Amino acid sequence: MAEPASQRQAPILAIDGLRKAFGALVATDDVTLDIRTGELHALIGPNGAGKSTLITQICGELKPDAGRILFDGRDVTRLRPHLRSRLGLGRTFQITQLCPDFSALENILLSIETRGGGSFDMLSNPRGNAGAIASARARLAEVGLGDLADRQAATLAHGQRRQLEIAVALAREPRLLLLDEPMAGLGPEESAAMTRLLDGLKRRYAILLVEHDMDAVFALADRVSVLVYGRVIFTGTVAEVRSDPAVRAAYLGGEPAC
Amino acid sequence: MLTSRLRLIVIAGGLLLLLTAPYLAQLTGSAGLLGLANRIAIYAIAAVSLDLILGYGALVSFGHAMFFGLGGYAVGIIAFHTGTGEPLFGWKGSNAALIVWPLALVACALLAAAVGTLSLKTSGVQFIMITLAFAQMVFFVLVSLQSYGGDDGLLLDRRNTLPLIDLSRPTTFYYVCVALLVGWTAFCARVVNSRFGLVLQALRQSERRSINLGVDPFPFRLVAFIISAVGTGLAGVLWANYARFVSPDMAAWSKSGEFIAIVVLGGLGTLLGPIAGTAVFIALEQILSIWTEHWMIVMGPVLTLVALFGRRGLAGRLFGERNG
Repeated sequence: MAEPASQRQAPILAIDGLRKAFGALVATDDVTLDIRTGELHALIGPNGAGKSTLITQICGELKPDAGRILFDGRDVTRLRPHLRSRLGLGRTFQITQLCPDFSALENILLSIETRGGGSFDMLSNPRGNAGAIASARARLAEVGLGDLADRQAATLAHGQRRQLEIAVALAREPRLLLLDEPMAGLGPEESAAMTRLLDGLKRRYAILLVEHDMDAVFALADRVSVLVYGRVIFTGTVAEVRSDPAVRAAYLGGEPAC
Repeated sequence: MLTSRLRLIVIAGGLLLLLTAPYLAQLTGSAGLLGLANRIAIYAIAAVSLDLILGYGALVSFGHAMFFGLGGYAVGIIAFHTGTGEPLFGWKGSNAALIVWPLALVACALLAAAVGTLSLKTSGVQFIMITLAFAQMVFFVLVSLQSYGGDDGLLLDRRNTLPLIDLSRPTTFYYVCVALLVGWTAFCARVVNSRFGLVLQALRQSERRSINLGVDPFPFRLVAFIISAVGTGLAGVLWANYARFVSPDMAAWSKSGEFIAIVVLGGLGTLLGPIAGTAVFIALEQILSIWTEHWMIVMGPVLTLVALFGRRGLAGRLFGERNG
């Protein structure tokens, strides 16, 4: 399980003493976490543990009350979300966020076009850019949507929209992928396909995976952090998490470690 | 495909109608027809411009009449000073369209930059209210300009002049308006399908997605707002020349509402739809107002029906199919 090579490198994302409170509710309570280059780090926790709040702070949509977020060694705590994205932070959403009127291909083209923040070029049509289209098609094929390039995003099935969202995130070669419950709402077969897809992305990208599907988490994760009431109560390998009594009591509910 | 062929036929038919209107007017002996066609051509430029931000950017500007009014007044005020010989900021004035029109459009762009910078910090209902508030300010400034006629407006002695083209001839002026309409619509279509347009449309569909792709929404919306204002200002410039009269009514809130109604009637986010919407709206207004001065009694239900049942407007089905 140990990865000496990546452990020696500086982490791509380092969260240090992060805190966010909504009135009396402390949604993020002194969270310290790091994601290493090439690592798939899973974040698990019961509903209301503050997983989404943490993700939105990493992306910059929500400002923390205290603490720091370092992306590739750079302090981004005060950086606006679109600028964080330009540094190489890619994400998918718990509720898919796509451009519903655009085709699948156009959604990918948008991602390629906006790598540097988008262009004010008012004359050239990106749909005529052969290079961009070829790489967009390759992305779609990679997530298994090769045949659906011209389908309007709104007409895609739920699982296909999830796949498309991952392709949109990948199209800009992110340095870190934040995946917010990519299995949510998927049937067993779709979940298995998504697990295979994520397994193929492992090592190529640093990934923070927020997920409820324990089978997927245990199959994919290099390390797992457990969030309960806004606190990280444990970080370790899959084997360590499974055998930790505190984690089992708080979250796994004594489920046999099969 | 059937719809794409039908679309081509409708576009060709519409263009043919626009181009032959002067002959049709001559043929039928109704002098009013050319004026009607000219009003349609001018208003259509404003409608296409508004559609650029309303349909493609989901920015509901309830103040676009301010640019229509400003474009018109820029022409009117310069004509007034040129006529009286009284200098305007030390400038003797000019009657040349190639000088006056660009000045009017620059004025509209500057106003749009200021209004857009303040109003685009908000969205939804606040954006509607702020654009309305600015338009009302412009309206009352125009009313208070006593030396330029105040409430009563300002008459222009003659139209601006172009080299080689005689704008005082109604048919010539009409063709200039049509040429500008075609050119402006082609430009807007290019913008909508451009790399800039891709981002503008993405912001309409999912602002959150766009921001998380690295897009800063504000500059894109501001630039679109300014382009839209310049187009509406051009319509105002042409209107002042067509009617040889400007009045604060050009900037009234009801005019802003009329522009929105025309775009919705024609089909949001279709560019060509609003041109059809303009034709229907202005023609209906003309016909109905012969019959009763309360023509809105009929127009109201028509608008309601279109808004309720034709979600993409009269021509939306034709022009809107996956238009990028």
